Amino acid sequence: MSWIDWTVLLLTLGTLVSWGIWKGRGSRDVRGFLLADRGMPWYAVALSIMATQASAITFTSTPGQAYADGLRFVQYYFGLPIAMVILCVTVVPLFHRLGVYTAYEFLENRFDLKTRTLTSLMFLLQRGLGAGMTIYAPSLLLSVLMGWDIRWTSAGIGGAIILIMATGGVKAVNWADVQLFAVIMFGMMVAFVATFMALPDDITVSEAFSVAGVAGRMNAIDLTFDLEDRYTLWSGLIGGLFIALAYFGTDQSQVQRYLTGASVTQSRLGLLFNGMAKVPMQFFILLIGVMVFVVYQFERPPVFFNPVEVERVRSGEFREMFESAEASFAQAHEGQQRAYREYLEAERAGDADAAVDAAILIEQWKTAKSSARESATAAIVRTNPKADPSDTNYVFLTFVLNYLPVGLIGLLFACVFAASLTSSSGELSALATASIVDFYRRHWRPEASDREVLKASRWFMAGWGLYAIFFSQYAVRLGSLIEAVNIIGSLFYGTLLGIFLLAFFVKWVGGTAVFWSAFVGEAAVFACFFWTDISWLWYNVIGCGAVVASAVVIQVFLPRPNEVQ
Amino acid sequence: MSDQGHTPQWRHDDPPVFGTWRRWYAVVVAELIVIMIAAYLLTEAYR
Repeated sequence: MSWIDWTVLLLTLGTLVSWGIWKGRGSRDVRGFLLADRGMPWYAVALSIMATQASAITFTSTPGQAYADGLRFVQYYFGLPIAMVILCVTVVPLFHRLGVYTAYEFLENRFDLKTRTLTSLMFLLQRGLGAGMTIYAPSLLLSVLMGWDIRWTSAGIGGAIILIMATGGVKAVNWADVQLFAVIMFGMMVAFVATFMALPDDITVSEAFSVAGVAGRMNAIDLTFDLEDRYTLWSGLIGGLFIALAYFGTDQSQVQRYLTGASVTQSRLGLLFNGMAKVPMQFFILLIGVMVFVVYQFERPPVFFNPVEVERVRSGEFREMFESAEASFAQAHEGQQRAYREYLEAERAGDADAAVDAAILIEQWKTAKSSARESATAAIVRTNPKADPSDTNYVFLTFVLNYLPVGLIGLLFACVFAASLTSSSGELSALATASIVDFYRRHWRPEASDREVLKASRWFMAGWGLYAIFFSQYAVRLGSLIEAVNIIGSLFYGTLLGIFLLAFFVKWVGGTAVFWSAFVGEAAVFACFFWTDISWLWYNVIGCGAVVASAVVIQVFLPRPNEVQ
Repeated sequence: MSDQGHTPQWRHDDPPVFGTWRRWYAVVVAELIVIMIAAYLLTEAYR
């Protein structure tokens, strides 16, 4: 990267971080530190919610996901707008009225202490792992860019996040979010334009979509119902609804975003805006990935997108195997490019038979390319058995490095790092809040003064930051990070959602039944994870269903809660 | 009991900025339906 890019990157990040710390300097008591004094207007809540999700993972991995698998990942988001409406009607006014700091406080009022503690612990467990992966993504990019050891880059990025959090609290995160989000979206729009600029001159936009279509990348909707098919309209609408309900209704990292709303109205508007903007935004990011795919059908892509591993294999004992695969890949790419041009010619001439023939050729060359890639990947894995055989996360980074003008590369990488800072600090803040409210003040130091609690909050943030840095060292071999982070969440979200549904709607079920049903729910989800091929989106439905059903059954054998009281 | 959150009551005591909350919810769902139809047409057009 040129010195201009480095200057842009460092100036952008430096300005954002100092501004966030300056804005948050007034947070002195616990309420201000953790809930930003409940004074956020709706647009700040909305952008904060969106920016917390729009992590470095989304922006590095989502275009790569579309590059490899097409548009169909967008179906995963179809349940989200419906979930936003349901939460606006139910959870938002309730949490505001109760004046809770964490979603789990409510569970103690409704059930008992052990259920609250278990639920909060489940949140801490999964969100801590998630924070590790959020830190891992930009650390990986920095490591690739600089050739530095991943341990140092993740420690550096983790350290920066801890610094922001320990000095500013939620206010710094929330207000910086709004600015970061604008930079991120601008960066993505520039990338989108760059994909069109990188297309060959004789290919129109419509023809680019045709190329994506014949390669199976314009598969935005899949109407088949198959539990083992990862992304269909049904898994997106039903599984996506459950995961969004769980994520926005029970995950403290999101609940905390809208608890900072100045009123129920502000929180509701924030969530509804998210419901309206999220699907088009993700569609747009996936479309960028599809366009990057089209560009790489005419410009030869590297046989493997991870440059660190390619460098390693070139200097290792499997160099010949790799270079032979690389040559086969280049040959297949040339053949496929010719077939694409024949296909487009046939389309322009309206010759359907020739188009079908060309499409068959495209498919044959695609098989040859895949086989060459498999051989190259085998050489990489033999050279470094710890290497991730998936290079999805490097696709967009490679495109940005090769096709964007100087200066803009620095800006886009600043976006990636900024997105990482905002989402990681949001996660750490939520982890610290849950630790303080559900453990420190509830179990260990109930009599602690506000000053002590504030101090402990900062320590918890630092502690969770270190935990995330630690886990980020092991977040290798997970493939597409956008999928990995959602799969980890889905291992717990169904159960969490089931517990909250019972709390809201089944009045006669008590804490003990819910407590044990949580274990049943987790057992069901982990059984699906280890022993079936059921798509991860359905884990949320299965976990939730298992919790509700088993709690009802267990409660039949226990005294009713009001009888105990 | 209900004041402690045991039996939640769904209230709409905060007025929306424009129109009614129901109208807001309808707009969000309608937008989703339009996007799904558009995505389906796009899929079919380039299949």
